[in-house]
Amino acid sequence: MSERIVPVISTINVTRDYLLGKTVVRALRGVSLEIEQEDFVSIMGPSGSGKSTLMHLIGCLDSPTSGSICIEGEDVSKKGEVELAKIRNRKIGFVFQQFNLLAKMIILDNVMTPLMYAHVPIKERKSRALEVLNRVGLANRIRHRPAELSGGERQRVAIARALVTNPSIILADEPTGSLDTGTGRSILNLFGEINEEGKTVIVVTHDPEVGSVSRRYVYLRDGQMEESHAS
Amino acid sequence: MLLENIKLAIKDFGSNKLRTFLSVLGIVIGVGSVITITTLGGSATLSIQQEMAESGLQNIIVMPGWDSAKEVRRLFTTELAAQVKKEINGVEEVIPINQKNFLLKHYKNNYKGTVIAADEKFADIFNYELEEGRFINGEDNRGRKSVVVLGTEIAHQLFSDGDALGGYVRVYRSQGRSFKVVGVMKPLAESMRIDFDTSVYMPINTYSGRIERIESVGRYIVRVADGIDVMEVSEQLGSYFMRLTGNPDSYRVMSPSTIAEMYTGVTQTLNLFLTGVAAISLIVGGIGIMNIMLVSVTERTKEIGIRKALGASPKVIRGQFLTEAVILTLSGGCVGMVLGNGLSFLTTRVLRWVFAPQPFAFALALLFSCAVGIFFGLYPAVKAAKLEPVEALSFE
Repeated sequence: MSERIVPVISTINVTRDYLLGKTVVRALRGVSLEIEQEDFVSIMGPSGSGKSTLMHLIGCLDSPTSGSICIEGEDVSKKGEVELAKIRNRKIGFVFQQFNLLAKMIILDNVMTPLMYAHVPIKERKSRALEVLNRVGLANRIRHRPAELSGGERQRVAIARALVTNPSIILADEPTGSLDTGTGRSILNLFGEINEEGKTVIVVTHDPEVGSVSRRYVYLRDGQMEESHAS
Repeated sequence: MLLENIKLAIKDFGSNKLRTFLSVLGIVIGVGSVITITTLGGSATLSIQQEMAESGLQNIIVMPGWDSAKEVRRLFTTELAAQVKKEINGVEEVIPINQKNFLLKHYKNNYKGTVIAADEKFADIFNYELEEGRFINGEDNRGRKSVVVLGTEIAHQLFSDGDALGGYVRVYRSQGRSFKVVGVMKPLAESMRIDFDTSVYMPINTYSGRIERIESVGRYIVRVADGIDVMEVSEQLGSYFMRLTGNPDSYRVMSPSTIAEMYTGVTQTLNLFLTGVAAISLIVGGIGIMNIMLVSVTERTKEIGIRKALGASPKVIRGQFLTEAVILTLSGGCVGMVLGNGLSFLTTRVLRWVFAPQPFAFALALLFSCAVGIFFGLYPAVKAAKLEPVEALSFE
């Protein structure tokens, strides 16, 4: 059996309900989706369509109300917090709209943090962090704090941090949402390159520009998948 | 991981200096007072012990009780002293003493001093050294010679212009009598209820023959032989005098150990009380730490969310916040220790005590500050660890 046959991510009839006060909000109403290895998928849809919820579920930050989610063939929908933390650490790299860097730490320490949680020895952490920072073109800014960097640079740091554990999946939530068009463009190109290098990239976005780099679109509306097609 | 947590904690406190300082103040005060109390207690005990060692831990005082009848007082004689020495094992020497205050004169100089009537062994028993001349001897005593030896303070007061040796001192009772000064002693600190420097020393037979016609003596100083248990001799003396008088209130046996025990009893009660106060301040300090840690967890919800997204398990988050709490209390404990030691050092200097730092108290204080950190840091840390990643991430 070749690895290609098992999708890197598959969701089967996934639902997620929230309790908002006394009303139940049905954020996802049964989403079944398969994402192949080395794919580049854009998840699009209006706000409130459930795309962030879907990303949280795929990213193992949350567990579904019903249905199942498999990451590299492993069902994660019933796993506990400790195991989910391990999967997030080893298999998934996150990139957020607000960059979500740790403000008090220098860039190098920020990028080294996921490796600390993976119990990588400190010397190796440093060399691997330098390697990915070099990859995103920030080798000369490692001693700076996030506040001293531009938005585009900060997002590059976040991407470096997502790459440093060498995960198979990169999950990005509106990665260009806080950037100007030009900078956003270069960040998207970076995602394209990362995808070319063999990572599965999933981007949740409003940005139609993403279409130019992604291989496949998934549209969500009212918690359901409306269409899915290759670009 | 621990090392990273420590670095992280220090970085975090560094960016919030005033708040960190205020939050550990309770711990600083708590530990500081524990250290001060124990160090001062230890120093006081050591000082008392040293003073006693100087004056001779081997000495026991036996005297009639405060309200003894005349018949009982008459039992205390020079002859009984010899008998006690003979009959009780471990007694090296028994020195009968009379002491009373008199007006002392040398020409126009007056001094109200104590006349201590004793024998030639008195100076040896207290390691009381001569400045000049000699101490009273056996011949003085047997011959009831009119000689005295002066304590240093009296010598200065009566012979303000110079040489006391060979001079004469008049001791006034109803009428004055002259005594030749044959020696002057060196200074010696007060002990066994004898103020050495303001006393003059006179052969006991001279005293009973020329100053006060009494057969009995005021007290015995019992010297215990080296290597013999002082407490045991005290007990034997107690039962000896019990047999003699038949009344436990008609005599008193005081050894340095009973004085020390009495003193230790008082300091222990005081220590217990003050330690209670210190414990309460540690708990209040701990609550302060808990409060600041809860604020910190809320403020850093976003950071916790980010760390969780990067793969930090609940255990790791809990460890991070627990480490912070312990570092807070531990550093507070260290500062408290330094302050407490400084304060007790200054106090001992002022009171002229021996400074006796208590390593055991240091260890206990550090252990306690750690324990307070763990105890009061646990709830905030668990709270941080339990945060939902999605909710924590969306916290602004």
